[in-house]
Amino acid sequence: MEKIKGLLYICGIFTFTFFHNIYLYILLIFFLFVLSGKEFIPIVKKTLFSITIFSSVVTASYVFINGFDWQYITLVNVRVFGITFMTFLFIKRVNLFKLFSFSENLMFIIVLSYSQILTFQKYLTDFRFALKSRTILKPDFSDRYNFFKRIVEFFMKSSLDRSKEINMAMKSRGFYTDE
Amino acid sequence: MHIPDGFLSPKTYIPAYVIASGLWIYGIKKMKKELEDKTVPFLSVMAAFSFVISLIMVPIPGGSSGHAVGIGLLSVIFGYWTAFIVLSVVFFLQAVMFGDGGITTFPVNAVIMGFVGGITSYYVYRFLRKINNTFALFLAGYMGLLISAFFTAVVLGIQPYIAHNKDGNPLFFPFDLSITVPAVLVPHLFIGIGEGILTVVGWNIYRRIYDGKD
Repeated sequence: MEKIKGLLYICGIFTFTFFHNIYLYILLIFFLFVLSGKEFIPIVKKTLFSITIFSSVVTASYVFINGFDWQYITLVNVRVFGITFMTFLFIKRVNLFKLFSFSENLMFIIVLSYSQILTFQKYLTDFRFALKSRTILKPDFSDRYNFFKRIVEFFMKSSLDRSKEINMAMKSRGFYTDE
Repeated sequence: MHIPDGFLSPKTYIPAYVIASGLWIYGIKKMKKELEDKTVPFLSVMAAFSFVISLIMVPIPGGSSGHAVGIGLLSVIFGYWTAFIVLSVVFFLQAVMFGDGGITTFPVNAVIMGFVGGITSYYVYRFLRKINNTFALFLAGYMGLLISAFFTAVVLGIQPYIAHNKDGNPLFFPFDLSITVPAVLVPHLFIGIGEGILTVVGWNIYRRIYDGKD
């Protein structure tokens, strides 16, 4: 089932990029909205958050340089919105780890990377709060530089240590067959 | 560099996937040969490291700060093939899990930033390290990012030439090379400083952890 969804997603990408018809895009987006069901609003929010800056800069620059060509502006912005919405809907509906289950290594890389990223993101937030809670005025260059150095050191050391630990954990659980 | 989906034509992203796939296959084989069973954990954790590094603001003298990617750092420490594979994993997860970038721009980012940027950093460092190690490291990070920015500008700037309608109006990214090259390169002349600083700092930390010297 995951593979069929993956195939449909690729077809969707091709439809949005091989055809240049605004009405077709709107029809597809409406269909995607229906498919999203209760998750419609969170996905729309996530989509807008993801595309707004880049699309706004391109659109504003285009209007400034070439004037208001509504057809081009609508075509590009609707396409960008449609593909991004479809991608987020796809991620919500498909278990990415199952999708890549055809390759054990690929699946492990995605699972491990994602879990490590979430852990590291949490650490980084803690570091930022720690700096904020310990400074009243805006930190000067040397403070910010020292803070940056310590963070890089922490994450580099953690990464190298974790890499060894995970390797040993995988070995001890029989993920590799020693020859 | 985080271009969303919809701005690159199929004439760009399909060849990019073909090129990237070839490089991924070769790169993973090369990594597996060097790291053997350590490949999966090393790759995964380094991808997380690179991801988190890209979220940290690097302080730049003058009171400002910029984001780094870690192209130079990964490349000078682990080699450009490892840098390419690690950054490819990062760009993929950024595109699908975190909404940063897109699935059609992912292979372009991987080839340009991961491979071209990585190879640039690696050879800049190799050629200059005998003159001055710190200078070589800084320039490796700086040039890796700058060359990546240049090629990104080229990929964006060729869109109006390769994807337009019968009237010559663009269908994807609208600006040509005369706009994209300066628009992308000028800010990266500044952002590259952050990448250079990260490469120097990261390399010294790595040496301290492993060699016991700075």
